[in-house]
Amino acid sequence: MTAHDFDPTLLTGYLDGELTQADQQRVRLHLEDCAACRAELDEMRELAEATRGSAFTVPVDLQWDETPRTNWSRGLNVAGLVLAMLAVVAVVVALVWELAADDTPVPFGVIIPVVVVAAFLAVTASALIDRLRVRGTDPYRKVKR
Amino acid sequence: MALVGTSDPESREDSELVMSARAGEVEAREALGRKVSRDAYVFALQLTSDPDASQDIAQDAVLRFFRSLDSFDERRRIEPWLYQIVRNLVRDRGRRQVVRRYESLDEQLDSGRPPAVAIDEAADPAVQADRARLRERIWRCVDQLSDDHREIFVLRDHHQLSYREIAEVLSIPEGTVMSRLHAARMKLRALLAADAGGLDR
Repeated sequence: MTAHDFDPTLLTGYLDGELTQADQQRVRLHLEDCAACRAELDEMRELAEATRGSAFTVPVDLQWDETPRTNWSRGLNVAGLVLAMLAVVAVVVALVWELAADDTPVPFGVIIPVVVVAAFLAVTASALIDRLRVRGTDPYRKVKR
Repeated sequence: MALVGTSDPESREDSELVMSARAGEVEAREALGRKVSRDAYVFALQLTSDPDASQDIAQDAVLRFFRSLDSFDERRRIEPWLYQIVRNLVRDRGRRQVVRRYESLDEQLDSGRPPAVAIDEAADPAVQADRARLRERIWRCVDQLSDDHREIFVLRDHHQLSYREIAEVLSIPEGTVMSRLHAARMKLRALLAADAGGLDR
């Protein structure tokens, strides 16, 4: 580059057609007698053209889901699974209790079926929420995966 | 795999698609979803060079896109809006893994998947090969740019966004765009020169 009252960043704006007319004129005048800036501009242009012409491969199985699970559905699902695990633990404890002390009844025996039913209901409700939610946009399911 | 270049053959105008999609037209929503997910994927891939992460980001971006569909001004272009979402998601992921593009390219070739960078149609196979090599070098060097430089270079020189749109995507003043872009181009040029010297091409 030559005489440095010229701001080289203007070359970028010039290449992109983003300068004011006055600045455009300034660059044009400068380019006339600055071979270095002409070369720089050409190089930037070549770079931009090659970059623009690049194509990228996109996986065809790219999926999207515009209606994800709601917090309710997610929450109920987690609650259901936790309850189910509690039920399993309760059953195991009850069995051990039964073996160890056969005359006293298991103190929490009654709640086991309640927990099992609650777990089942929570998971079912979660699935139901998902079903209802996607009913309107279900055609998305057909989209190639 | 589908090739996506700078133009999309799905020809309906974006603003028309947005309006129809908003009205609940299923076909328009599908077309919009397809377009947006591809664009989001490509931009994410350019920023991260990680195909798996880019799939996740694209998915997330489409979700956010549809969520804000109702508040979008359909007279504006979709791209700045979408790219802003993608860019913020990429940024949120924190410092990306430093995977150099040629390594991930090799990996993709090894696993039988097509490379991320493809060439467009040039008549002469020799010209085609030359261009392909140049592009490969460019994207490898883009990968070595700082996040700031990579974003702005890709938005302008690949996606052709105007300075105003770039300012919007990056949330920076419009006046900053030109100087940052110029710095990015200069840096990339230097990297390319070093790359040519270093790899004897």
